[in-house]
Amino acid sequence: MTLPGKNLLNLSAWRYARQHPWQSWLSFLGIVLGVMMVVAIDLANNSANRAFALAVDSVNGSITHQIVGGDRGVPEENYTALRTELGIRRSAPAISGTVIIDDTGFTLLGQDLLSELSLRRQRAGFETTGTAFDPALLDFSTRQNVIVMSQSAARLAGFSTGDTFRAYRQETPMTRSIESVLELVATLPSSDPVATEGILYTDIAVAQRVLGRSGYIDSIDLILDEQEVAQVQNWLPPGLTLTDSETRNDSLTQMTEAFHINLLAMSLLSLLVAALLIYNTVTLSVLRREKTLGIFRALGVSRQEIHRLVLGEAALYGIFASIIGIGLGYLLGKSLLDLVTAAIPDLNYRLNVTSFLLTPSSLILGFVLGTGVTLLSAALPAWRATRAKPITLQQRAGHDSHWQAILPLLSTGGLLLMLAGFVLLQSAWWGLVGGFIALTLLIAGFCLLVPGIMLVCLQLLLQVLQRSLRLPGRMSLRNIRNSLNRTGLAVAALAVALAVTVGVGVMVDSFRNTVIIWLDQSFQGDIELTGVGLDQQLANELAELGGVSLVSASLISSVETSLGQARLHVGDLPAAQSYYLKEFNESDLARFNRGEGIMLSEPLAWLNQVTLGDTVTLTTGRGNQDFPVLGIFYDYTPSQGLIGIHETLYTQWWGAREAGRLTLFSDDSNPQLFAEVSSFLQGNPEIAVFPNAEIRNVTLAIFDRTFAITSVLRILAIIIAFIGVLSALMALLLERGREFATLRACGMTPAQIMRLILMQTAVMGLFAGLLSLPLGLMMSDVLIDVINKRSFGWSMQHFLPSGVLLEAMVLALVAALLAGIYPAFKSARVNPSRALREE
Amino acid sequence: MKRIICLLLLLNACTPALEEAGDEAVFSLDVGEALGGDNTAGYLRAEEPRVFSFPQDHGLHPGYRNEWWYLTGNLQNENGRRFGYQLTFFSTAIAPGSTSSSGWQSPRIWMAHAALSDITSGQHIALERFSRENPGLAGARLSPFRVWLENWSLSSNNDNAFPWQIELNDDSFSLDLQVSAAKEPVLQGIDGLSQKSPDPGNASYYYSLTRLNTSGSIRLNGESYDVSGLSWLDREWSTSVLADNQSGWDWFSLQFNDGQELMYYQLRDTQGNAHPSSAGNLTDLDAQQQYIQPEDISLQELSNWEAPNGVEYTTRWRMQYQEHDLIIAALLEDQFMNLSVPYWEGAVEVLDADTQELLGRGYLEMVRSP
Repeated sequence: MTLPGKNLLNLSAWRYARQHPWQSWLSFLGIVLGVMMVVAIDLANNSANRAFALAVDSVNGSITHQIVGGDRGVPEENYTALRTELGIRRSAPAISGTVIIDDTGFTLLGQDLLSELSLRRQRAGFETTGTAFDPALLDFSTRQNVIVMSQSAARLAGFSTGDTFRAYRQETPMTRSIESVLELVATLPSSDPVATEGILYTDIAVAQRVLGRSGYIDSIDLILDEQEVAQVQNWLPPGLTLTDSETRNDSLTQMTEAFHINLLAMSLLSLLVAALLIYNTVTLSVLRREKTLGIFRALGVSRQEIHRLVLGEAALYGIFASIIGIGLGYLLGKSLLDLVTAAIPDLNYRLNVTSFLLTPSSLILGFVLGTGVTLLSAALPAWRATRAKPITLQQRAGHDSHWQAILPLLSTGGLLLMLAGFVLLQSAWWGLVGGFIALTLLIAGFCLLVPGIMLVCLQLLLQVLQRSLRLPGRMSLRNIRNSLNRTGLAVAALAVALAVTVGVGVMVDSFRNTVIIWLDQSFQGDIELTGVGLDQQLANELAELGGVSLVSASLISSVETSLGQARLHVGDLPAAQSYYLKEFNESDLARFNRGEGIMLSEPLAWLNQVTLGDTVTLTTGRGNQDFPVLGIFYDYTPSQGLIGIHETLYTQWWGAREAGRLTLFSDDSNPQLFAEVSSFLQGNPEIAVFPNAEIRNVTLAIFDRTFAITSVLRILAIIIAFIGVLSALMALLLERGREFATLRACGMTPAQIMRLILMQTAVMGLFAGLLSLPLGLMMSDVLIDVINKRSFGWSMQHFLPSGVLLEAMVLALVAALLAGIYPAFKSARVNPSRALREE
Repeated sequence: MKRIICLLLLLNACTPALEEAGDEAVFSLDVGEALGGDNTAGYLRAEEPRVFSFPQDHGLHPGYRNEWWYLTGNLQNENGRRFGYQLTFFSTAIAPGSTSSSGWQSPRIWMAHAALSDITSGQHIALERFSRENPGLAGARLSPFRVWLENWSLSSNNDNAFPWQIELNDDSFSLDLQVSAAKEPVLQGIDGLSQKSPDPGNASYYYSLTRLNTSGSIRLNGESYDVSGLSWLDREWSTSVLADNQSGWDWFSLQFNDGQELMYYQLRDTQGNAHPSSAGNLTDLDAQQQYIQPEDISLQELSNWEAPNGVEYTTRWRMQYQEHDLIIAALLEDQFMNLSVPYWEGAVEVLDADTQELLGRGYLEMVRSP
């Protein structure tokens, strides 16, 4: 073919696009949105990960080990002992916490400069020695309110040297805040400005006072060689743990990564919907141009050239849409960053992520996925275009009947794919990735089944309603049935898009409800006291207050176990009152209460494949000891595993220790109880008191914050689904313009035509909505039972929120009707003679 | 007289010039500035003689800015292997009147220097540590007596009584020594008030335990040596000492074989000449003292050694005092303390200038401006 001929081909494609702007733009939009989602999520994830790593690094520096303690931290005298008795000099104490200045959170990082000197760590780009011996920093020790920031961080926060601030610390997320006045005495250059963002450096004494941590530090940071590790291990007082800082960061990172994979998977689902849209659009464009293509073939255009033409078109769409999608993804990613960050497991310090990291890999991923998915989706229609018969145009009905012939094949294929998905789900192979592959197989299989299901349903409907249906009704049903190759595709696309919203919605709702139950079970009682000095005497005094039926003492410590490091929850209540139990034997509960064994949190048991009756070795105050596992309880705290033991057992193996938390149970006879407890503790600023209901609210608030990103993704998925419905149905209806013209010519009124079209779209919307429910529920099952389980070891109860299901139905119908309006309007207004002239 | 500390300088907001030497950060300090009396408001000052009482005065004297416990000694094992050691605890108050403390908030910052000279192998090791006082990381207390910085300490196992233990552990060497005073404390200067420059108050309270019988063990390079010998403890507390025109000193603590001891410090002015406030003391067998003034004594520099920082230190001296005509010679040329405050401090032997007979041993400290 010569050059002008090639131009002719391209020109024809261009003209087609010009004549059918709706279809082109909607599928274009589909790719744009899909790419945007993937890029945005990936960028936000990368930025959050980088900020996370930096935060860990800027606070911890280049240390090899940390000594950490229980719920209150490490008693400071342990640091003294470490240095004066053991002579471990490459060590430094650390305290950090969040303070609020002008509604902005900052990490207050307390350090002892003289200890830091021996650690020589590179922290946040400061030369340790430089930091330690800047004269302004030594002012730390003489004045009790000074802070230092990096120059870049100060600039970012709008602070300058000499400024004083009112800083508030929050005792617990909801109780009274305590005010301190801080003065910025110096700003220092840092080679890594990002890492110092939002960090206020101060003396450890200042941090301890401002953060209300008298007597305790967060951790002892260490650089140890192997010999010293053994030495420290031998010396370590009960309740303290020596952790390898890499392992510690790894477990946090792992958690975060699992969450991010989930987010990325959700964005890929959106891209899948976009792929269906593209397939739909390209297929329609090929179908519509079969005549033209046939003529081209008759004129001597080769199959390869036709193939290239169709694919070229798709590629062009894909490339442009991907580029725009990447641009929009960049913008969206920036605004999603906060939400993604919120989903990172809470550390002791606040994560400030104001710098958005533009990772080229995210952009490439978006581009490759965008164009790749487009080309893949267009491959089948392109191949079909090459089949266009050269001389005369193929009757469409021929296609459709051909299509109906392969319907059983499609359905069987669908069933097989779904079966493969189920099998993959049952086996634990490939972990998380396997779970996502299985999910994809299930969705793909379901899509293939859709036309078959629709055919059966439509036949049934037509038979059952034969009498009662009037002509337009019958016509609309038959229309759908007769063009199943397109309607089926459209309905499948819609169903998948809607199912994503259903699946995620059900999953989040189930999770949230499970967390509520867990909170109720695990945080019983009415008033919580935390702090220093929660001894037996105080407990007795509190028990004397009117309205107090029970005072329970508990503490969280950490323990080295044969399963790795874990948190240890020690309580004096019977198991059933302390934990939301998952697996247990009734008789074992009494054994637990007598201190004859331990309980494991579900994630810990699941990750280590521990079951009831197994034994776990704990490093006690009296050496290593095996304990039988008497129960497994639900736990949704996003950190290391949790082990529950009864106080009797703790006292036996570790010795008595002051409680970290007192829980007051009220008999509801004293409505003033909280006020009385508060005033009782007035003279004791070391103890924080708050109503238990608030813990619940705060935990749920944290949960909601963590899942906020999911809700946003769901809304985006809904928008894509909406566009999907709109574009698929509109394309379908616009394509049938001539049929409607014929009907007009046969005497149907414009109003009847409109009704016919709207009824047709409504039925398709209804199909999509109904089909999305089983698919969505199946997705939620996979998300709940497989993905979350494999990511976090969390299992959760299934809840069926009717709102989510209703939402999907309403969404389907509204979108379907909206999609019908323009084509209906257009078809009703069309001049039949002119429309038919083309025929 | 002892060197005061970089900390002083730092805390008084003079800006030290920080230099990188290898991976060690080194301060170059102007000692005169460090010991200057710019910011003394609120501190007690050594203005008048006081009554000393022991063991109370072995402990800390809050209210003054600086205080130190300064141990030096010459030891040898049964094969005649000779060692010199130094262990010093310096305390510097952070602010006047701040005696209250809690948690990590510390009224004082501590620095310790330690050194070991292995004369036979020619090795000299100098160590330095810093710490804040709280929570219990460093400090000085009585009943039982204990001065410590991390795992370096000088302490009594029997309330405040001798023998005292010296414990020092470091990767490079360890000391495990017992010291017992063979003489009563010697009050230096005029009844323990040691005037360092003409301004009233530019003085310290200063006493010494000039003869401490010492025994114990030294661990060095994986070997342990049982040693014995004599040590010397200097105790001084003050708020300011040097005048603007003073910049360093040469300090001698000599223990004669005949049972006498001689302490003399020669303060230097900024031109390097002896300052009239220089002073010393000769202690006889019964701890009776003779006050030594600059005009009573003659010091002659015989040979110098150049330290890596370019400063020349005199490692061979001639000292003439009354009937004594002495050669004071460093046992090692390089006993340079390359620390935050660079100075030379080392074991010396005292010889008769005429007969070269060994009359005693001692320690010499030289602080000089670059």
